[in-house]
Amino acid sequence: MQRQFLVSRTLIHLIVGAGAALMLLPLYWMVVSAFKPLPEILTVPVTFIPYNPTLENFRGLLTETLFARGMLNSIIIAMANVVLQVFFCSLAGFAFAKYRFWGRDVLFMLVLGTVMIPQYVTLIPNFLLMGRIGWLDTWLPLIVPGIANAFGIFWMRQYIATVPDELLDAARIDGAGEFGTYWRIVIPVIKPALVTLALFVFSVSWNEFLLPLVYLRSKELYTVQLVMANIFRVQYKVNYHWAMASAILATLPMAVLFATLQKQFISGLTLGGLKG
Amino acid sequence: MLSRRARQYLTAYGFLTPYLALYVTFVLLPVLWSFYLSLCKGGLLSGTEFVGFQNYIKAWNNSLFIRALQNTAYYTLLVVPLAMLSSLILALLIDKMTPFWQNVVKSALFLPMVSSVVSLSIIWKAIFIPDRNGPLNTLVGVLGIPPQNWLGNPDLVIPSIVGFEIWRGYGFWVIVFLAGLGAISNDLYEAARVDGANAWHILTRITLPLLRPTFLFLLVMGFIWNFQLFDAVYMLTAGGPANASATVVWYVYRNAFHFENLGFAATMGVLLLVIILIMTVLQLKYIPSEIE
Repeated sequence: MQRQFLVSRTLIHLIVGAGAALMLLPLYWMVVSAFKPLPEILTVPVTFIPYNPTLENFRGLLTETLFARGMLNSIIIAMANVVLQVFFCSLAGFAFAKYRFWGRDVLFMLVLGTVMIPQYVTLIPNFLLMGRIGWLDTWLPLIVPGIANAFGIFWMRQYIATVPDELLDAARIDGAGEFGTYWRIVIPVIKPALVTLALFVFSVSWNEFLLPLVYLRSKELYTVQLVMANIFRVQYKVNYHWAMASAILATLPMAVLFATLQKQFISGLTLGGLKG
Repeated sequence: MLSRRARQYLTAYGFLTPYLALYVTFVLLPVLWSFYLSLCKGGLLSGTEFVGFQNYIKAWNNSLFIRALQNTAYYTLLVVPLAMLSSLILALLIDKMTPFWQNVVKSALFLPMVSSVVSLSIIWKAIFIPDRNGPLNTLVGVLGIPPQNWLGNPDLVIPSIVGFEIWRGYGFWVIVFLAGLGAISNDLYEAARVDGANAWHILTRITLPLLRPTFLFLLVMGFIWNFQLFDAVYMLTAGGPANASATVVWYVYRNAFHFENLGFAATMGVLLLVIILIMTVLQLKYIPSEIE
């Protein structure tokens, strides 16, 4: 019985291990391809170790394309999204969780109801709106509307509801104003939830494609995803060598965040499942 | 001096105002505006003109829209069951592993999830190279299958994108199943074992029934996401060959931003939204989520 258990357990580890390795094969192939000269990526037979490893692809990518600029742009946009969404969502979540006021439940349901509304439905009217207020070809459409993040509110409300009222009342008695109570008591207590939301917002912003595609025209404003898509989709020519190198570099920030904050990431991405 | 109650009101609305203002401007009004636009014709440059339900009749008679709808449905009906079944099996296996290896495998599954569709598409476009020596063709060649034009063959293009999307989303499906499995109390398994139940009985009588809410969640979300497929189509095929992989959102995007058909694009967007809502309501209504 014991032996049979051991055998089946080893077997499971082997099967799953092989499956996971197979899943990672495309990513491994991306990494080795980034170090291959272009002809070697396309000509073949497929090599899993580069014959002539080279850093030329990265050099070309960073000097001959707008990739570095795109990375910088994406970092600025993502940080703005993180700071604004975490601040405003936690503030609104605090109001929904800890105050009693007329219309609270109706408002909350209304906000939650829009979780189901897909991005493309609001895209066309928002595009017209941005045109009228002169926001086209700026980063504002990628930053400002995102603050109205229904998931962020929901997530924050759930978490702040678990903060004991006594803690808040104690702060009020000590003379902290309402905002002071939020800033000095609520924020420190809900830090783990804030980190999860921040990670989630960062990854959504970093990987967003449709919005920058529609709103940005000037190449200097492009996000990293847009720069990458552009490098890749040059007509009549496929720049696999640069594209592979850019795919690695563009994934790097997310991979580093993921490696350091894996636990928060998993709850964050499960939260992301609600977004779709 | 304001009463405590009045102060509560003012503070709460004060905290909510920035959020609500943005919500009304960029979410609520645009949704309503979208419905109005669906009754208009015209584009970004020409301006719009109210035409009533003409666009809806046009959509009904538009063979490309119908084709895009069919493609979207075909695509979703492939992805959801395949991803559900395979990720369930994998999650059941992972659940039996030691915690250390569980974490290793979870990390491996998550890497594609944190990467962008753009970078993953670049990799897969190369994997799908139709050449005899392309990576995927080399792989299937080992199995004795002749080289295929994965993204260029109208019959193969959707299954190919389906493979890509399953691979990309796998981590999420597995993690959700693992969370569902983790929530099942060990006492139930113990009790079943004491009663002499074998592994198959435990799986079919305890594990699967208790996973019902998880199934329902993944089913609903799987339909909602996959009905909105766009990024992968844009990157891998641009809707081709000959619209064989065009999805509804792709066609909406083309009409709105390339063909100057804002009104018609809004109409198709509204129709897709209605379809998604009806599907979701039906799924929630007719598929029991309660654990018996």
